Amino acid sequence: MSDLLGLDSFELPAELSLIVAWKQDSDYEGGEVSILKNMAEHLKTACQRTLDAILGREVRAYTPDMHLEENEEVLVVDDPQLVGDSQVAAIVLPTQPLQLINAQSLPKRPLQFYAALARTSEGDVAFVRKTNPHTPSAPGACSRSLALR
Amino acid sequence: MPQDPVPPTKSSSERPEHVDAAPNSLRGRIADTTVEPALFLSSYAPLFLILAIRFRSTALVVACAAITGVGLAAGITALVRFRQVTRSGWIVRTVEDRGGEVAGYLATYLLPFVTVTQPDVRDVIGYLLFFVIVAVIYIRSSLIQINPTLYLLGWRLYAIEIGDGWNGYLLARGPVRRGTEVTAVRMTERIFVSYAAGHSG
Repeated sequence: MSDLLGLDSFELPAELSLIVAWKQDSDYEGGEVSILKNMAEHLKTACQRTLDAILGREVRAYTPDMHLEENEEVLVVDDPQLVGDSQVAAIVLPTQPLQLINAQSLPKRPLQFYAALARTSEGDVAFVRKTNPHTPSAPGACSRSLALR
Repeated sequence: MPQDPVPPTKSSSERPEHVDAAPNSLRGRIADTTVEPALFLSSYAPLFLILAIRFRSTALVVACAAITGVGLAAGITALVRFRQVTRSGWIVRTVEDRGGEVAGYLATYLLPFVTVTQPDVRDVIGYLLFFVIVAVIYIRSSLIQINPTLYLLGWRLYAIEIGDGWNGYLLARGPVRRGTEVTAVRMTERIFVSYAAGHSG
């Protein structure tokens, strides 16, 4: 049933885009952060792990009252209308270039989620994580810039 | 890095269009704070070379020659740096060669021919003021994509439309045709750079 996601033959491209989204009044706003190719490699590794985990689980259609068996199942929205109307989908699967975001402005934005976007000839696939990737560095911690300065 | 992302989302043709947000601040809007000044400097590198040839004062010749070198280096460095950035592919809906705009931009290149060859301090201050004004207009307007130096280096400028009405510019070495996919790096908010040889699918 994993065909429902159309990911059985999906291969991650070498280059991924990084998209971030934040709250602006009652809506979400999204932007793209330029990243270097070696950074994209790290994202690709993480996305590949996710892909492997998904393909190893049973796909079940999402309903509000269902129970998810952790590490065994993955829930899927099988109604394309819901995806089409989603404000999140408009950001993580853009039909035109998003605004370009300065990586140094990320800590000041109330980020809600971020995504690695893979563009392939078979369609776009976005790997979304619902968290703010920015965490203040603790004293002595090692930090790394995400993008060009 | 994503450690436990939710399942990937596939694209849908029924999704709504995204509307770009208003920038929160100038610093937030400019993705790379060095690229626009670099493009400006490189666009005027040939002009400063002409000025260096025209001026008779050694100090001015050295200064103009130095600006020429810095400008060329800045433009080439920007192009080399952006080769390391991830590219994305977009279908070009419309494409238009904007070489004519470069020709119009060359009007400012008349400056060296109306300047005196041995300017006094007041003349030099006047020229500097002129370049400050040009720089501000260049960076804050659509002139940023017009760069005679890149033209001299073999790059061509195209006005393109992507998706549902997104308009911008593409710098490419080869021809670009409507309906083909361009794989390009986003250099500024409105400028893509394609390092591929051509997009004539």
